[in-house]
Amino acid sequence: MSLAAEARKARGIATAVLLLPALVQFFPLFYLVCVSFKVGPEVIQYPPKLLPSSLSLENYRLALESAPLLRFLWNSLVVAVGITVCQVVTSILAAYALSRMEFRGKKVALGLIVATMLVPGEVTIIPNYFAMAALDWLNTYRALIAPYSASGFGVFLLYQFFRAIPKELEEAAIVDGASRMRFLFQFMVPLSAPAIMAFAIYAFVNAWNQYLWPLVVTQSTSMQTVQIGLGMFRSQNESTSWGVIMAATTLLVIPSVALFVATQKQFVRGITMAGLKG
Amino acid sequence: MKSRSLETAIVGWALVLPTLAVLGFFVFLPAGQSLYLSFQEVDPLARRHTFIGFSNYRNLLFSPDYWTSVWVTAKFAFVTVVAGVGLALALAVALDANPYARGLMRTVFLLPVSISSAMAAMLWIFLYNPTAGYLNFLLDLVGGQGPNWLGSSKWALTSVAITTIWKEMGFSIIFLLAGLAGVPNELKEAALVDGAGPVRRFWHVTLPILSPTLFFVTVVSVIHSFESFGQIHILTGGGPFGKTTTLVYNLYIDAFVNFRTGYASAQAVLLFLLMMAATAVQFRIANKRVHYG
Repeated sequence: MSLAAEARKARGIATAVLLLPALVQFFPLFYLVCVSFKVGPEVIQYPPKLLPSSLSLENYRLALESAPLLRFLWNSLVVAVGITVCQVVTSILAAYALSRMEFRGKKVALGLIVATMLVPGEVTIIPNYFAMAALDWLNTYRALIAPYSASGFGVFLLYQFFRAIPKELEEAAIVDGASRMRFLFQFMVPLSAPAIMAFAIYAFVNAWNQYLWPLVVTQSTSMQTVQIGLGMFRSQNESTSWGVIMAATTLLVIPSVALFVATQKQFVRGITMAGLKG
Repeated sequence: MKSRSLETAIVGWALVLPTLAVLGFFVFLPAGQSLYLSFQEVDPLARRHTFIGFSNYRNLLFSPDYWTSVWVTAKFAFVTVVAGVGLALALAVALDANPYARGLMRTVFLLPVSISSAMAAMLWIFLYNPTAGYLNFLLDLVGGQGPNWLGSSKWALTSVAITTIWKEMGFSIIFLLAGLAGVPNELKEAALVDGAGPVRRFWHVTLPILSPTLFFVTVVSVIHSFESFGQIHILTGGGPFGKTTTLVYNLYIDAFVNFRTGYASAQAVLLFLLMMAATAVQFRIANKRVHYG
């Protein structure tokens, strides 16, 4: 049997093997939406029916009434956009200097920046919390954004991309009278756009998904992000209705799913690049 | 010429400064402070510090709770890494063998990677409900008696691990798929000509070439499992009876619930050393076993 013939056979087996795991993998999302439509005692009836008896939006109405879900979404959006913009800008500037300019202490600066990738957030969280308390920044966007407004990974990644752009291009542009900054933003950034985009999406998703830090620095409901707000909502409403909790979860998970579907390619690219840093 | 290089230095440092300032203030400074605080007794409002030498470390190493969390973390890491990477490998091989299904299926497996650990926990929490959840209903159908998943001392950690594997598996699949794409067809052909069956070909051709990827994925999975927090906080809150209290969860409780700042800082320092050690050990093993083609 040739490799091609075997590949055909393998294809058939692979499909069969993949079907069940794919179903299992997708099931929690499907189940979530089903439960979110179940009203009243239907949620806890036994034996449970998978599909809801009606597509009632009652749970969604109750969820929106009893918790500031839109406020959570807004907070997450402000924080994630803030962090992403800051990280992209600071990383572009630093990566340009490190990849294109010769100056004393450059190696040390690069080394220090790269070293921060090895420090897990749990190691810094206690002093950072006290710093926020001392600045009176608890329960503010500043506390959520500032500690993440630069990224060792971002600098390292863009540093490598910028280095790959031929030096002659820059020399030519500068001879033509373009300033360094003009060259950076008119040539380097557009040329590295795919990498910057992938990094931006990676940074955004990470910021959106953060849990421990927002949990620690936001006590007031009005400042909580999606992740923290939903957890609180769950523990407050557990006794009342799972249907409402699942409706709230559905509403809050939609942006993540939508973003993933829309940017899957860049998202995967971002993850791959982040992985290759090690 | 001299003034030009001075100008370059000023501009260069000015461009690096924003990044260095943020990382200095929020990574290096607090990392040092954590080390400092680990030798201090701090009152709950963090107003007074008293130097107490290694007392925090000594108390930790004599604390049964701390050793319980070491054990919980080890079990959690072992299960999520072995089962997670194993499943990811099987699925990646299957996906690799089927280019037609790859697109859609890949999306299904990757989707959980993009949502947060907290959201993943919320997706699973009602499935685990012992009376109304669908999981125990399915077990009931096949004649099994489902456990009280999250409330059971025996099953709580497994439940958290299942959710974690569900969420993280796609991450490993991405890398393993990329690794599998790098296995040259000529090598497989050659092995085929030599009369090797699919299993032997996988074992002797694919796996050696895949080993650096497999190793990388394992390291990252171990680090991820050490850092797991959101799903534990939502699913079990570290319970029942500390059965899901990992090192990071223990740190969180001591730092932000019990306000034992010095004691928690010592845990942060040990956690850092542990993660470094785990990475170093894996690199050592890998240097001996992994085939870098």
